Amino acid sequence: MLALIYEGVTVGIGVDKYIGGTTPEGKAARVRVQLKIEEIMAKV
Amino acid sequence: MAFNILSTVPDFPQVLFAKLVQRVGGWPIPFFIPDHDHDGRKWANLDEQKKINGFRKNQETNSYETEAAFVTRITGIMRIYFSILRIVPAKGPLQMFYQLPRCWIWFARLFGERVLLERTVAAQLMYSLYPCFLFILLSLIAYLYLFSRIRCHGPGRFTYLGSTMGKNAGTYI
Repeated sequence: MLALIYEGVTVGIGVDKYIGGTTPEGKAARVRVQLKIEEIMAKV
Repeated sequence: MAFNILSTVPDFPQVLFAKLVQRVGGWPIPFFIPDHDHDGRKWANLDEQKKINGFRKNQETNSYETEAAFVTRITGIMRIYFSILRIVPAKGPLQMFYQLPRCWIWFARLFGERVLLERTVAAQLMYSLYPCFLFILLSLIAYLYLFSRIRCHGPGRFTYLGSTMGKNAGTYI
């Protein structure tokens, strides 16, 4: 599930489509999700 | 406080959920709001559509809040909702909208709707939902530990715990 989200926020869910859209706020939130997942994975 | 009222006052859960939907649009469910009402009537104008989607209008300037303000407000409201999900009820489970498994339903629904995923709020809400999953994981570990300890006490206790496991795992920890 984490991998799925990670892919959604890094690679995207389609051509130029990401979780959270492309607005500045969306990008900020996306990076927050990405960092949190990396943090979780670092602990495991 | 919200939790205490939820567990004591009858019909309050429904009212609160309706209020949540009114304030933040379809996000507590989450649900993508189409361009028409449930009876097939199209939204009269952009104003009505914005209002249904949870945008708030500034009475003085007569303009809608920006996307950034919208995201901040929605995240704040939803964080309260997510923290209610995390509280372990002492007097038995709450109404179905406020039980912990709801966060899985929320998440699954969000992933089912591509249009929702691409909204700015989605990523931010996903981030604020994270403590819920952490809580489930910890409950599960504690529960499995408890389960392995109690198992030796005989089949009666075993089935009792087993039957309640899916519904409200957090209650017995």
